[in-house]
Amino acid sequence: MLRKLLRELWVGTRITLAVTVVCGIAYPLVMTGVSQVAFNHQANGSLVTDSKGNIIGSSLIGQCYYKTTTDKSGNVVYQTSKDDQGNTIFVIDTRYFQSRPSFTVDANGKPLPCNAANSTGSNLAPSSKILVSRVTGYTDYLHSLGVAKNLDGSNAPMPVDLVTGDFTGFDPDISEAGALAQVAMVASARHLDPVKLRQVVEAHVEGRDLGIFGSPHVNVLSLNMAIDAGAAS
Amino acid sequence: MLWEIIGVVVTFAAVVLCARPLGKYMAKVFSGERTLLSRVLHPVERGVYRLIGVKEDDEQTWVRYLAATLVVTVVSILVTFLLLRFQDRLPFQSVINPQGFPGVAPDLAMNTSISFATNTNWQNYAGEATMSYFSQMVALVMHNFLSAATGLALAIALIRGLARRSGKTLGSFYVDVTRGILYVLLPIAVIGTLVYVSQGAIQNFSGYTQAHTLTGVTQTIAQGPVASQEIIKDLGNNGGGFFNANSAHPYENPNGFTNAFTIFSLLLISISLTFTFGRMVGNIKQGMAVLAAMGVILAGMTGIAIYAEQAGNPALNGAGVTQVASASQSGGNMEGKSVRFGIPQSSQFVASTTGTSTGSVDASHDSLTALGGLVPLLSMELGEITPGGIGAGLYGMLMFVILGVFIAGLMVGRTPEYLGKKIDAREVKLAALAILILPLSILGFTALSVLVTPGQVGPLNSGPHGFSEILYAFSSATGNNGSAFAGLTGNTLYYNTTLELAMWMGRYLFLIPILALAGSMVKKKVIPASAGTFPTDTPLFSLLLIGVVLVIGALTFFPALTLGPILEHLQIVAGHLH
Repeated sequence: MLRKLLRELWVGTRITLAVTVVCGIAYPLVMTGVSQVAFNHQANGSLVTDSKGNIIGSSLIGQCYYKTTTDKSGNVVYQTSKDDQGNTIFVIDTRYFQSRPSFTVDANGKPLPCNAANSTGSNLAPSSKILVSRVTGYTDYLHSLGVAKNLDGSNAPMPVDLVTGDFTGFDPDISEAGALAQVAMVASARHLDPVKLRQVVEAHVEGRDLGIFGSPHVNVLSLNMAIDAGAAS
Repeated sequence: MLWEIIGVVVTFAAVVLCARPLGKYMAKVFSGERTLLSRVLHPVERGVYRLIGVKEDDEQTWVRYLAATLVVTVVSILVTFLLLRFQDRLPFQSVINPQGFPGVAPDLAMNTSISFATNTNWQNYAGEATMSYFSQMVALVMHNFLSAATGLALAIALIRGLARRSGKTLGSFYVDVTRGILYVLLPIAVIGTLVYVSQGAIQNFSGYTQAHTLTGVTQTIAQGPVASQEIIKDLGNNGGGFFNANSAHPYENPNGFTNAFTIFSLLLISISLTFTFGRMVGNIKQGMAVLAAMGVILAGMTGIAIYAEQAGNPALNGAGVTQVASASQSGGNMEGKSVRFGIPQSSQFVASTTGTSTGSVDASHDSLTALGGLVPLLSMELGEITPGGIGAGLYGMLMFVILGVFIAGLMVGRTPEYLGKKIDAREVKLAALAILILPLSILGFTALSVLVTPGQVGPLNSGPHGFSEILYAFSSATGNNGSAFAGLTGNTLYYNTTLELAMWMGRYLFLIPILALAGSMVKKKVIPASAGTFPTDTPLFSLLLIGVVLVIGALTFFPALTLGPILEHLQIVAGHLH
């Protein structure tokens, strides 16, 4: 009996090691090699660079567009402020189309929006008071900056994706409605013609994959880069 | 909206279309017949047997089969535990651990090892902030293959028990695992990795990228060998993401097409197994009757999820937002969801990942609407049989089949039989025992957790939703799913330990009666069908099976669900928030 069990143990150990070597080492290494050759750009993160070759980000990873300031150690950081309820908010840079709200934190648990080294969502329940007051407060803030306004200056309903966060904290996209709602804000901050800016937005709407998979969306980084490069001037 | 629904239907249809040939192929593989890949793989297969010291024709009784399963599991848990614990002591740190993560704490390392070995992949850690590349690639991906192949092997053993015309043995666990990996999982994983990478999933060993964003702030972007883990995580119904945000992360799941491909992958093998089953028992319609029952429930769950999520969150009605779908926005309950997927596809993902034992998530389940969140909870509590995890779905569903046949037998007043074999008291007891393990673990641990302080401090949200977070955790752990209402703080000694126990019970306590049943069925002689035989290959039987599943699931879990999502829904509608 004991001898039989020891034999099974020995076979079990060997099969575990065999699977470890084949599936844990050989397979990922071979796939890395093939991917690096066949799909180099994608395999390395679809990185986007400026004209000097500096990495600006990734076309798949969303960025935050808040006003910046310099902290004590000389790093460029996002500028914060307090809202009516005394909550810390990040100050929106109205020259840029805004991504969706982000609730990621740094290694010490302090808010660091769009932290692509520590993905997380809010995990708030639909019945959460915190969720409802957060969405209401942020909607008011965006309205005050001229987002989602009717022609007569009254508030139009805010597209829901603009005031809710995704599960990662760096959704690269917003909806077409979410982008169009921001045209007036960006046009006024940059002194651009809203009609021209609207055309740039519409040119950046990406449809469903193969016509049926997923939802149409606007990649915020590529839209903002196009506008920085003068696409709407 | 219409096009997105068409996308949902096309994804399901693609699975069924591919399932028949794959099911047939798997039947051949596990019967040792020649297949398309034999020329290349058979010599490798024989080499593996020599290496591990196994004879291809050394068949095992149910007790030996079970022992082999347990031995391999325990050994693999130890290997992973040690690799995680000492991930900072291994050589080549700059390549395999460029972020310099320290060794994983003992209780978390043990929870993670058991979690991956039981095919659960519950994660009490954030991958990109805890695990070295080596830990992800070797210690965890090894389990993704091994635990998936184990599930597959066990289903095949049960099928043999039903299909063989009197015998004693169920096959060899070692041979079945080897074949499952070599002929089924690895070839699909190789192709799948390239599909993911071509669309933008990453596959590299670079350190984390420092990007200088448009506003001038530095953004750190996590990297790693992701795609090779992504495909097997879904194909093998594992679900443990490289990143904390799992399949919502663009580097795991870049676009709507890969999202459809992910849903396809996580359903593929479980659906195919119904055809494997039909072929191995010699009547393809037997498998299709089971598939029909699975499909109807899955379609229903998907429909409910889409409806609830698209309707949006009533609590936000006064917040100045619009949740109405239009040509330019998907609307609906967007908290926790990605814009590129939209509502219908995210909802399909929810139903599919919990109808199987996958547990990948492309949206925050915790932030689903109350009724939308009911769908994953109920899908897991029904026993994950729609179509269920790799192997586990089929063997779980066959327990309900035995009960269904028993109930039908009572109605026509005949001794029940299935596939020509008489079902006696012993088999019905074993099937009932297996099914009872689920509520014992889910409801037992949930009840314990709401009574003791370390359990009470877990939830993030308060009110009924806090209760749902606990109920979800134990439903997920027991069902070996791995998805979470992620607001729950699970990385505590209490939750690490209780969830471990739930994962064990859900996998192995469940398994013992099933293999015992296979062992007793395999000895039975086949008797020819008579006028009193209740046919099990008809739509009528599918309906009966759906009834049995829903009645047992509803009766067992309705009270708990009433205290969680149902109460939450009623409170939101009444304007009572927490």
